[in-house]
Amino acid sequence: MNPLSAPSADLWRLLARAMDTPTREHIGLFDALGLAAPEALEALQAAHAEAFVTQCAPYVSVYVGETGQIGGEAAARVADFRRLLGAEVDADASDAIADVLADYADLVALAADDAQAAHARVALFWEHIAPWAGVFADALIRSAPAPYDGWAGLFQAALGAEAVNLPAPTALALHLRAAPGWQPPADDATHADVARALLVPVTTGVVLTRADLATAGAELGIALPVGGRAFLLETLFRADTPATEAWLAGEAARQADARAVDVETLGETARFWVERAFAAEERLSAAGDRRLGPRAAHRNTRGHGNASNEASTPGHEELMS
Amino acid sequence: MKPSHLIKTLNKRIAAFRADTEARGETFYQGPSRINLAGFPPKEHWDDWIALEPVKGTGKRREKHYMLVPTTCFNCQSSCGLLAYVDRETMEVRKFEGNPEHAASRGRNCAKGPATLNQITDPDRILYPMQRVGERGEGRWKRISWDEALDQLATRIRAAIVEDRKQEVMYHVGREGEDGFTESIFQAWGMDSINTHTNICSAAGRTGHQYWMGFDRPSNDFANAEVILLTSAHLESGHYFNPHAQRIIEAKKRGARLIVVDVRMSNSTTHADHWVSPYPGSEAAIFLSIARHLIETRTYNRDFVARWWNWREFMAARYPDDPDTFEAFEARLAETYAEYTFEYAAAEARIDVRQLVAVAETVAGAGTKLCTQNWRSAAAGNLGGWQVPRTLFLLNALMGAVATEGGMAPNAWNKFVPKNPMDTEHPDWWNDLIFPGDFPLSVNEMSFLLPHFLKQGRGKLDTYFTRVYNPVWTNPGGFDWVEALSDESKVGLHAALTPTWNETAHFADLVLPMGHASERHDLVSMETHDGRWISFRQPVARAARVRLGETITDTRETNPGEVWEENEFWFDLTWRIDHDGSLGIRQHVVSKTDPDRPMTQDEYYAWIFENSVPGLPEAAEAEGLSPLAYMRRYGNFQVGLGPDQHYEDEIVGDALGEAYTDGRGRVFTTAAVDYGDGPTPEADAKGRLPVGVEIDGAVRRGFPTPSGRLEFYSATLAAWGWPEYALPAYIKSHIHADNLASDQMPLVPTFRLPTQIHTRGANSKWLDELAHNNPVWMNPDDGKRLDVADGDLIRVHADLGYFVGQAWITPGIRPGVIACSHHMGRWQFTPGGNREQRTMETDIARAGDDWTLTPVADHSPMAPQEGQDAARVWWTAVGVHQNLTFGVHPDPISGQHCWHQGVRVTKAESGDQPGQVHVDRSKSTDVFYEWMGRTRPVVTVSPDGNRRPRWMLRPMKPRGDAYKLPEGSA
Repeated sequence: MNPLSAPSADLWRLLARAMDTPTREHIGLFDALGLAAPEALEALQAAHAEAFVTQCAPYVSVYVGETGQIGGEAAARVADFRRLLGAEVDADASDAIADVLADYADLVALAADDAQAAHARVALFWEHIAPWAGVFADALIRSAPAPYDGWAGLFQAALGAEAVNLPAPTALALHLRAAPGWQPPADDATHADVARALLVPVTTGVVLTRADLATAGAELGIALPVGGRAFLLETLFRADTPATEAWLAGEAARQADARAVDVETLGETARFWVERAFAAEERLSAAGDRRLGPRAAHRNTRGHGNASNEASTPGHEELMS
Repeated sequence: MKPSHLIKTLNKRIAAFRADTEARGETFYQGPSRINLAGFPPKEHWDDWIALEPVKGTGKRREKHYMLVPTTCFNCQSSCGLLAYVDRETMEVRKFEGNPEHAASRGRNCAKGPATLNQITDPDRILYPMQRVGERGEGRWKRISWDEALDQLATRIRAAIVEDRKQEVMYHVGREGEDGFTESIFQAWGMDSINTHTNICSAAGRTGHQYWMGFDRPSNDFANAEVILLTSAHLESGHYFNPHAQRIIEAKKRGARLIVVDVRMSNSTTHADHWVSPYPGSEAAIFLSIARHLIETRTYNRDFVARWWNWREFMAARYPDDPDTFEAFEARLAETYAEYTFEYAAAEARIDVRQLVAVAETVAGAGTKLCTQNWRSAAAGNLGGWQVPRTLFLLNALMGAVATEGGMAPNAWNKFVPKNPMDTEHPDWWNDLIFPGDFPLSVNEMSFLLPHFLKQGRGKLDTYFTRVYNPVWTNPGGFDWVEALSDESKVGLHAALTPTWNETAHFADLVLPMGHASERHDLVSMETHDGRWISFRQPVARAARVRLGETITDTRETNPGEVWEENEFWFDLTWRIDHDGSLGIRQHVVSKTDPDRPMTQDEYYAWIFENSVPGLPEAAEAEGLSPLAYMRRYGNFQVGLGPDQHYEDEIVGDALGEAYTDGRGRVFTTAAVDYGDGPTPEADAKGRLPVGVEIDGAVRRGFPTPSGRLEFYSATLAAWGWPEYALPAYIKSHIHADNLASDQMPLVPTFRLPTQIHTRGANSKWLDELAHNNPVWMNPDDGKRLDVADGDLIRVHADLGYFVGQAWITPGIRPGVIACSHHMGRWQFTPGGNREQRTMETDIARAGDDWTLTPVADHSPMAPQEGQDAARVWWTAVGVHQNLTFGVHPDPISGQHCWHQGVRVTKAESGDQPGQVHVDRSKSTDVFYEWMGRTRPVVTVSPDGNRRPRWMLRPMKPRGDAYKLPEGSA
């Protein structure tokens, strides 16, 4: 390991601390990280809320959990590991990313003199940080305001530097090994069902933030209401299913390319995400191609811009192939 | 920049940042916040906190500006901090959240805190003073002015004072929610007239502690404990449960072991490492078997016991011929508890002996970090229940876990009650209706026997206040209260001071609306943890408007309707009682700047905060605020940390003065002694005050007991008629199997529903939605035996009659015992057409001594008469008022009502409705006399001609000869 090019424990600490609800101290903290933060604390707090409340929920389970939501088995795995380290784990946020990074910082500090801590550091990194870190950072860079987009860039750099300094694992992390692939929707699946399935990153390989969906709406000319991501995605499908599928296929391909860049440092972990995203891209593209047939076109026309129940019922058998 | 260069650069920048930060004396990294996205509004933004709120129907959000004003929750005794969000446009409170500045609750609240909003917006709350029309209890009312109400009361009370009928004035309080204000008012009137609810609540819990250490309450340092032993569902519903629960969970996260002794599977037992589910009443036997184990294995703290127990007094009294050595005492100690084997205790408790062994081993490993707790629960349920906390404390006393880190301290060392400017004295007479001679050792007032005392002709009441108290519903034998309150020859005028309608207010002459937590001033301190604090309750709309520059001197200006606060009410009433100053009363409440009016609340609290709270003036000055402004802004001040082992404090120099040491090592002085917030121990025959106790050649502060030590042996109990209980012992409960018929089983009626508020929760829709029924818990074995299925209606037959409840068949309760929470079953009758409570509407039919309470139409709760929630009461259960069927069970020593019941269970009969209650009132008198037969009246046991041992606590402690029994009565 090259200590000069490896992120220090304090760097990890500040990366973790930067994720907390901002106080006045955070303005100096961002300055130390070389990031320009708003001078007004309230503006920084608003940016923080936009980054971590509106766009990218800062919990491990959101990215590697089997439902794409906070909690569940993924959160329990993280909590169990952190408890084994002796960490004080908040039952309500046992997999909060800031806390995981703070624990990691402590291990980095201890690792120099403590073989057990060094071993735990490697395990925590490859099992509970690397699996989600790439997609999380990429989503923040796309969607979060300054200084949090910049924070994500630094985090990505630290991640890469750390990965090359730590021995690579022989197997994928359990979070990824245990994650099922994207299952074809059932015959009677509704737009809402498909929307929810598309919002599980670890199965699709794709993270869709509110900003991503807003971009989709703008590019497709579809006005979006206020609501959760599932509702927004459902609205896009209702308004124009083939166009939405095509847009999503393009986004999946873009995210696959982004992950491919990580393969050099994160190895199989990054390759997992590349493959999942490409699979999603293929399935979404194929569905779009098949829609060119008359039946799909007819359904499309009927459903376009119509938010009635009737329009929301068409199945998604095209995605099943 | 290449990634490797970027990281190197960052590492350097951050190293420099760390160096700069630490050079300024600041902390570079304080660790993760652990609050993540749930941070509190920073206090510098409390004047104008901006939240984004949706604009209905537009899909847009707009900025909403709030002023955040702290106050103190009034919905249980914990007194947690609340932060009221006052809308700056309307000056209305929009919501309540936690106050992060509160030292005990630390920003966290249970459901009851935010539900204060339900209480203040209740469309059916009492908004104006009301006077009855027609017969008392008829349910007809007229609105009157505050002046009319105050003048009526002042005229009657003045007459009682002038005509030397002070005993005819009585104030009966439920939830005090403050420290010392009302006591000072009644002291100003010269009254020994405060009657509290304590003997239906914590009297037995207090008794067990008082005999040991002089102080009557424990203060637990749960956060630092290694072993926590709870006798109750303390985590979710015990006294101070929110501040306690958060610290217990912190301790568990650290690895502390949790033992819960509770007959039910509560939310506390689900967090426990050991859940012991004993037969009710056997708890003291369990604790004594653990004590025996500690003694037998010599795992107790011998040095502590030798130094701090009054073992020499025990040996002198019981074994005068033994050698005067600690070893001789140890031999007698082992002999005393030899019978309490694990096998004996397990048989009494009907539990697995192996579990008891495991629990004892866990306790033995605690060292001085053993934290135990029993407040109500088993202590309040059983005849002799006061021995439960006494035997529990025995474990702390054996381990030396007294005022240690992680141990248990006397409450007064973690509670701070500042002096107020009223400058009053205790009364100079004794009220036999409150502290009758039948119970010379009762820790608190015998309040729940009042109807029986009135019926016996022991006295009558001219003016009777109930204040946030509902004895008709809360006390055993509620129909006795209905009868007494309906009789104008026994109760001349009944004034109910209450924010909400309740069963007792229905039988009042005056119903006077008082404020909820955000509508009144109070100052309170509780021994919640290892630290001392005061918390300020304030009318938040008033405080917000003052912050904006207005001058407000009467809280009615900002409260809804004519809702008032008690402090201003009592000052005004006091002024009217002594309108010309001739009685020497109004001088106690007069303004120090204007002799022609009473103090304002600003004057009263400014005096306290400026003169009697150490450190507060300095803290306020550091922020450029007056002490009063500081408390109005933050609501809480931490006076000090940690109880230390004050009993070890050495007394030297002037504090020791001219000292005299008695034969037991108790040191007395002619110098003035400051006992702080603790009890005042008894002076010797020459009037010298106990200042300490001689330990190893030094005079140390010790404890406020007669001996100055921890009293394993109580010479008081021995001398005052109860020598058989002079030591911590196991008393078989009245519901012990030996005392029940073969077809009876114990009913445990003492547990709370964590989201309910005794008598003020009925109109809180949020809380009722969370918990609205009190089914009868029954084990499947008993269900099978009694042919009762889940959901079946059953009759539960207690002392006075039966109630109809719904069976809940669950393995969450041990076989052979049933349980029913006391928190539901609220009712009202509506003869006058009033529908003010969200309870069931009932009829009361009376035929001679037979009383029947029957739900009208169905037993569903009534919805509010107006407002958004009128259509949102979806639940249909109200529960059952079981207490009506209970007779009074005064423990002859502690005075505590022993709540557990021996009952018979039968299937409901045709026509029975849930919530129905039938009572034979004549049995109530029989039960009263049966239990009074257990007492040993003071005239037969007083060893010194006093009514009560002078060293024992008494909230109002009469002066001078008032303690002496009347001539010729002994």
